[in-house]
Amino acid sequence: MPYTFPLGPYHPALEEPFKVNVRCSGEVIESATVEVGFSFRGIELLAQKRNWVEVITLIERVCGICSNTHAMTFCMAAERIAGIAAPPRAVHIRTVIAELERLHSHLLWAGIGAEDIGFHSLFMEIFTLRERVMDTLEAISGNRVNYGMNRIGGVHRDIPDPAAHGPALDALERGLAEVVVPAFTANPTALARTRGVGRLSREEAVRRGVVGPVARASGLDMDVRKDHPYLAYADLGFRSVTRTAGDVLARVEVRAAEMLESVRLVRAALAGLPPGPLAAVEGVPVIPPGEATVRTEAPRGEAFYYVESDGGPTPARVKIRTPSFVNIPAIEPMVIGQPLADLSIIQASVDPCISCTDR
Amino acid sequence: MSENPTSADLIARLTAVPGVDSVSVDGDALWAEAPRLDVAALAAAMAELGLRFVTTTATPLGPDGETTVIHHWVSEPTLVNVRTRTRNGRLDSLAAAVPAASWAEREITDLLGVAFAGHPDPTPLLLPAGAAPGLLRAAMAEPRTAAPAPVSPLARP
Repeated sequence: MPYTFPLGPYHPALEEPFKVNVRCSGEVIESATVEVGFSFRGIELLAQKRNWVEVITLIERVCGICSNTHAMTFCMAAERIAGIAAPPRAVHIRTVIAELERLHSHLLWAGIGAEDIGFHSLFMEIFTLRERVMDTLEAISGNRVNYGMNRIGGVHRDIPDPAAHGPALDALERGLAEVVVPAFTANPTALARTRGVGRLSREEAVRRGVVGPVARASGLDMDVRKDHPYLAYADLGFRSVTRTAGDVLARVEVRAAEMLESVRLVRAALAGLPPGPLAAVEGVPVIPPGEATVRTEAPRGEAFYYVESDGGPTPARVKIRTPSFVNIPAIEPMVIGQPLADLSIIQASVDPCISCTDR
Repeated sequence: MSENPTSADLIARLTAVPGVDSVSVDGDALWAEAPRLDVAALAAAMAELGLRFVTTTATPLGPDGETTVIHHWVSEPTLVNVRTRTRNGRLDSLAAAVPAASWAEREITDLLGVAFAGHPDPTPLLLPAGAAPGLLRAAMAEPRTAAPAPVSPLARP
């Protein structure tokens, strides 16, 4: 006799409130429907009621994980409308923060993924490593979550002693290479819960328009850092990571390899930090009438911003398409035919951000 | 991803879509103006070219009037933006042919009240079932001033 099982909106397996209604026959999932909207805050409306500086603070709060991505992408869109070019030093600092943010986001995901499969000791190891990243972000920006680094035309804070962050990066790279990557890719317990689980075929990934690690794990070699380089990625020689299996293990492997690439990018950006000013403009910028679209690669995939100005004190329109908005619906095909017990790790493998999705 | 079409290919194919009046180039982006767009023809053209759907932006032109709608697509490294507008508050659904557009259109209905004709799943996305569509339309259409006080419609008396 088929039955319906609601996971969420509030459940220990979910980072934030969303709901997956699954219809099961015995232990096997026959269909699923995702419901969102439990964290809706109307940020796109509020962005029309703040001036061009205040709105950066607002936009940074779209997400508590990829906060820098949102503030930075918005600033890049405003800069494009105004014809402002951020100075090279600011561009490198933005790259450092963006990759440190990717590291802490992927480590957060890895820790939660470990917890979801009952691997508590791995969770503790990963969160110890994540603290090194958070400490580095705090040392640079003074903040652990919303860094407040971005301004229109550049960044607020310098990195006066780039070499000081070398030991933290060494420890992080060692921890990733010796603990996190082997634990997820060679440990029999982890493999038993991830290999062949929650597949998303390449065709379905294209049909659903998924982005980021979810797309790359299904064989789609797409990454804004490679396809449309911004910040310092063209200079630093970014290497994208793909897998073809499309299962939870492939998503794990993509994120694990990306973390090592992020450490390399942070090292390279710090080592090549060019001299010069931190911003191209001072004070409250005047944004002339115009519109711009900007894409960046957030930890969870492509973030898209459309920003319109009518020359007034506030943006005329800010449209935000977060990566989770297109990745979360792909949970529905991933879980069909899977055991109910795997629902938790399958939905987690998308790294769903509900705060981003609802805005 | 297979071989991406050239910018000239994109412009030629977009210009041939019924309802597209003009196509302009702005840096790495193409902008097509199509006030009376044939949405199904656009979907077919984008599929033929192998473009990936990104999202849809909607901006109200007034509290009770029409809405500007921009469909965004990408053909690396070019972003293709196709701007159209509603007629009597309605527009043909893109999601009927492009599943990735489903959530974007449902969200626009919830927040701005645009009706997408032929949408395969026209249920609310962000709003509770049974809630009236267009939650933010009036507030987004108001004259813009930087507000020191809370601006959420839920925070008003």
